[in-house]
Amino acid sequence: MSIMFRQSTIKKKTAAVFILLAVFFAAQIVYAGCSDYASFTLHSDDNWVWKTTAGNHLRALKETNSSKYTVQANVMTMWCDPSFRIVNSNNQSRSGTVSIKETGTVFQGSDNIGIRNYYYYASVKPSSWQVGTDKIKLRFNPK
Amino acid sequence: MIEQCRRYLLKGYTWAAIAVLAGTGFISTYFSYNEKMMLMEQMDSGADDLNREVLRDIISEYDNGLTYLLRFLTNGDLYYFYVTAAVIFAGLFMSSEMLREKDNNYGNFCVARQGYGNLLRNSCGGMILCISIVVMISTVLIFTGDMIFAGYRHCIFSFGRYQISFGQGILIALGSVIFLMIFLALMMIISVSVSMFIKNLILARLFPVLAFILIPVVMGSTLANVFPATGQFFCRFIPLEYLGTVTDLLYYSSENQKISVICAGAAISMLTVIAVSAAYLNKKRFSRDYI
Repeated sequence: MSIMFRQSTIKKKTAAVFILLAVFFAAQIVYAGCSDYASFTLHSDDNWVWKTTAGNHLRALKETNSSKYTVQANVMTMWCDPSFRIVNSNNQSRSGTVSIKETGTVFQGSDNIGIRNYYYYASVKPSSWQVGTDKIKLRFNPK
Repeated sequence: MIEQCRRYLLKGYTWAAIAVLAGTGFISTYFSYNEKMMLMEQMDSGADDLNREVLRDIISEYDNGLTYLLRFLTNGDLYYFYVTAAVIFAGLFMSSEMLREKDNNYGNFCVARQGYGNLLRNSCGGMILCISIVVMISTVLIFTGDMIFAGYRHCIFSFGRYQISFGQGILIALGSVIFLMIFLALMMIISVSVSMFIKNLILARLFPVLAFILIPVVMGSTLANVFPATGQFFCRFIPLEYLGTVTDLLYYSSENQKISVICAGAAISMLTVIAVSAAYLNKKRFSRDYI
């Protein structure tokens, strides 16, 4: 009886490990090409900002020649919508802009003129309506 | 009602407001044209990380006046200025008119002739009609200017998540303008009704911009900073935000589109209830106490 109980527990644990691994790999596939999250501090008089609060750049590898890209914020302290675009390593624009209206939602931008196998960088601009200093934490996928 | 509307339309400041509103659209066109120039410069540059096929398609989309209008109506900042300018105009020159007429006794003649209920209905109706015409004329001016500037192409172009045709683009623009007109109409009823209770002409003139733009913006901004998790939810009820619902439909996924439409619907319903209650209270009080 106790051996059967132990075997069933081992099976459950094995199944749980497999499910966790499956979820982990599925998540890797879904977010392949997506950058990590990074915070940007935006002052009301800033133009396009591509340095993160930590002082480095947020970058991701473009894996296809798609003309779309996505961006998602998970922290945002401003009411008005900052604009996002992707740039190359010389800070030259490589996409159209998209407004980030809220946290949690994946916003799709268009006019992505980058090509695959190049790294592209995040660039954010505060809305003209922003007053003072605000923070936004986001990640993007140049696709 | 039509007579009142004609009275407002014939005033110089109304045409000044139309010029300012249309000017905001033309500034947006200028910015969009600069973007096109920047893209053309990139095309001519020797950069090796450029998808020139996509870039060529994007540049060709700028040869359509409708692209410029949609960029204006859906692209945040300048549209916010447009809405704010319309609200300021409504407050300074229209919604406080009933209070001014009451103060200088001209209102007494009107009430004696037609009764307060009729005066309130005609004044509100005239103001709503006037602000709607102002918005319509300015949008048509912007669209005409864009079409003359960029030309007409009956093509499908990419906007937000979708590929839209010329007809769909016109419908989106129309939807955006009608939604703005509904908001302005409700704002006008509330402002006219409340201004009679305020009794201070300067405050009554500033009421629309304070109540519908500045206070919601300051509150939304403060809430978003103090409670980052729930602040964004409250921000959906800032007029400048929910007036962009048409944009949300273009950029959001279907689930978020629903939330956005529900929030905008709730906000407009709330404004309708406030407008009806304010008008009712105003009529009840001043039918008795006006003269």
